[in-house]
Amino acid sequence: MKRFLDLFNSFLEKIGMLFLLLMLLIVSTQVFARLTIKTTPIWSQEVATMLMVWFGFLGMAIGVNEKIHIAITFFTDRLPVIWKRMIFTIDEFLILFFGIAIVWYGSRLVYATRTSTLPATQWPAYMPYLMVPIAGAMIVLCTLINIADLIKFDSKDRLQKWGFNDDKH
Amino acid sequence: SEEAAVDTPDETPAATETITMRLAEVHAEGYSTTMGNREFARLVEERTDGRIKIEVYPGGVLGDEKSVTEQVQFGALDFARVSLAPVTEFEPSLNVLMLPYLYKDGDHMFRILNGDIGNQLLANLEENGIVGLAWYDGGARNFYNTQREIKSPEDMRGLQIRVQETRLMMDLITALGASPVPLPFGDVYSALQTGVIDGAENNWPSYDSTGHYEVAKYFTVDEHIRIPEILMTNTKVMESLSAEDQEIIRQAAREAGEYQRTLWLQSEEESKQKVIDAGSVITYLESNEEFQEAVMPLYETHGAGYGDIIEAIINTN
Amino acid sequence: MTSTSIAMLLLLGLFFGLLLIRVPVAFALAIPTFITAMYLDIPAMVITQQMVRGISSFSLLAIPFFIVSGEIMGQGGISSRLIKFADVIVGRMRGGLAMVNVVASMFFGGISGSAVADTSSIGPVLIPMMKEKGYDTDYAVNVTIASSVQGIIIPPSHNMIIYSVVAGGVSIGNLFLAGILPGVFLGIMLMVISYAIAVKRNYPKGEGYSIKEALTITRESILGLMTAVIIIVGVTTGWFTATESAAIAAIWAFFVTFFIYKEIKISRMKNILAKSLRTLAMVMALIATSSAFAWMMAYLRIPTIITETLLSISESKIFILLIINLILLLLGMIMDMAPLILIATPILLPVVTMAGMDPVQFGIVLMLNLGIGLITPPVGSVLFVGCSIGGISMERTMRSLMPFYITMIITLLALTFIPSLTLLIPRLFGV
Ligand code: NA
Ligand code: NA
Repeated sequence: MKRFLDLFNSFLEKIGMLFLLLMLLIVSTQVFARLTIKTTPIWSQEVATMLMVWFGFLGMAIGVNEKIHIAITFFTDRLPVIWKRMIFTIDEFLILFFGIAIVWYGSRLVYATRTSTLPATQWPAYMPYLMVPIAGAMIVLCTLINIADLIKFDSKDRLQKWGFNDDKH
Repeated sequence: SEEAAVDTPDETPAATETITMRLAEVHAEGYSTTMGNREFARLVEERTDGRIKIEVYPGGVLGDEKSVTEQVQFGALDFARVSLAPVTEFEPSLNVLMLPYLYKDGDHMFRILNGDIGNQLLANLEENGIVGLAWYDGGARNFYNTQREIKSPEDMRGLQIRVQETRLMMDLITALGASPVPLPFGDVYSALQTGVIDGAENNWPSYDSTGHYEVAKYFTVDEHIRIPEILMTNTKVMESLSAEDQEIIRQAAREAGEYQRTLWLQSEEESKQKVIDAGSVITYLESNEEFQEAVMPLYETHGAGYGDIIEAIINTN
Repeated sequence: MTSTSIAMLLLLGLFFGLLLIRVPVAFALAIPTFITAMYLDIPAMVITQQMVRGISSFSLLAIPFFIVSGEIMGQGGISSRLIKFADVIVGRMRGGLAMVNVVASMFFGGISGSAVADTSSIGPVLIPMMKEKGYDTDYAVNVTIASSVQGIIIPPSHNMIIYSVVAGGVSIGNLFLAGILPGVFLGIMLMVISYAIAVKRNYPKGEGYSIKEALTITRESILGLMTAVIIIVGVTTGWFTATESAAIAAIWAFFVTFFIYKEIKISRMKNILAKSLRTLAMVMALIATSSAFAWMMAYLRIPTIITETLLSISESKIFILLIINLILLLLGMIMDMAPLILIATPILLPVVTMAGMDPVQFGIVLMLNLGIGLITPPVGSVLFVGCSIGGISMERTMRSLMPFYITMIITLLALTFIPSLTLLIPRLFGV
């Protein structure tokens, strides 16, 4: 399961990098077209912006798995390990709640916007929202595994994400 | 169970209970649409003896026009005042109202909007959960540029004109022989100043308030497009109200619309005077026939399927 | 208690509570927003909608590009050349390496908007070098982190773009122009204080270069500095939008790094993109969730209430501006820059506008103020990075950081009360 998660995560990162390159390509093409053939593709801003939204939500999920989202560690750092472990488990449950919320409300948003369109591409208006429930599902998966790690408290490399190192447990 | 089926008197809303509703507005305090909304809120509160209170949120704090339209649609907001343009993404048949060179003048447009055609199109909108309450005026959009007076489509040839990134506007500029350049609104001033673009298009008050008249002095009153504003609410919000309150809200919205239109026309006059005094060259067209001809293909593409409505609009006096 | 006041307590109380128990800031913003929406019975779809809206802006697209180009420059030898270039200019003064540190940060600020990036690319080179030449470690860290804040004020700066978007379209070109003078001013102030301490502690002078060496270094580093020129000229003339110029800058940095300097292999791009992805994952999540939080605050009219309260306390413009700076400094101690810009701007911009401050000037004041927050405890990302590079405790760094805080606060007050410091250059350009 964890091996699957690692593979999955590196797959997500590749997609993220691809989005990043695509955005760069689209915007450069836009400038180039405007300066040379004096016009710009009608879809460029809309598509590039949509890619950024997808990228943002993808990154949000990757961040949960890799614990790169900034948090204030100042107060919890001063607590004994047993307290930390309890608090971090609560934190994971809270993030799990967030994941479930964006799966549920993200899907409803996709459904609610199914009839309207985007102004330039005329694509369905739910396109930018599509990544929200997907990212939510990934967050749910990651937090469930994190919770299991915190309860079992044995996988050294994964526990390092919370700053637990050997001597402290 | 048996008991649950028994018809217990639900907490029926007491007649004295006050409801607070929220209205989103993207323009700032003091702008004609914001003042129209405030008038709407005042009338509703007065006529319901304070039972319905409407709070206006100006300045776009609850989101841009597209976003607040969605919020009204799924019931997070009770009212919003938005331009017709984003609403067409919810109800494509409304597009027909924005076809270029469609109306004779503003009065003509309001006769259409407030007549059978307008009512029919608003009824279509209700299928999306949105109730259009009243039309506000957004004036006519006109071309302005840094290069020359525009008297015919011939003069537009080769100009780079900034537009919003929508298919209709891009096609319109192309049909007139110019090149459309989608740029963020805030970048237009410096782009005009430095010659990145040759022109843009907007209504009188925006031409004035953005300061674009300082850098692009040739203004042609071609009135290529009229995009009215719409005050909207949600179907469920309306259904939750008594028939009497619904009528109060509809009537108050109509009156607020008329009030806004008066303010709008005043602001158009003030801006017109200001830019003329500042040295803008205003070109009035003797006839816009050539322009109309040039954009005919757009009636095919953007008005496809609505030929009868288009004809009815043209034939309305 | 009305349901609105309960909702306000829920929103703000939960937010601070979650921060305390180490819930990542992005989620500490989003979770209370969802709960408040549920309490108020607002369709919570609006929260997800606002999260998407928050990052769905073409202007914000500049951020990924700036971060990618910053990463290319950090890994690909542009920053080491900027340090040498600074050494050529100011290295021979007393406390030379401290001067080099400040000037290098001014240059680096011209190509990156990130103080953390500045400390993490200049710090590992200069802090050990300073230690070796007999500077105290705390001083080396102090100078590095304090001067890194310049990167946020000297254009380009992705934080200014965030501000421009939330402030309702304050011109990015104007903000960039407005940042030049304050950035240089801050640099000079920091050089003065660093010099004074260097004289007192009798730190050494640098050795200097031959004319030939100096010319080579200048020529090479100018290619890197061109990135800044492309962006600033492009944006202020209107040739490019900020987003487009950021894309061009990334391509330029790529070109200079891989085709002229050739210090790293093209395969390093994978690492560069991966690191950018991590930074961006954090930044974008914060922008998304704080937009939703800001929506809820607007819905509850919290900005209006704060404005009215502040204006009712005193009518004195000076007092109001001082209070606002104080509030921001305190918030900056516990919160990071991007979410604070997103949350504080809609609340405070109306107040300062009523007090007669130009939105462009407020943008720069906000940048410096929150920049100071990056080097104050308990939460200061630049402070943390600096201490870990120097290998000393936060407490020891703090002990000698005071003169730098005072210098920066004097600069902050100057920016607050002398409008022409910020507005002079934008006005010269007539925009
Ligand atoms: Na910068
Ligand atoms: Na530095």
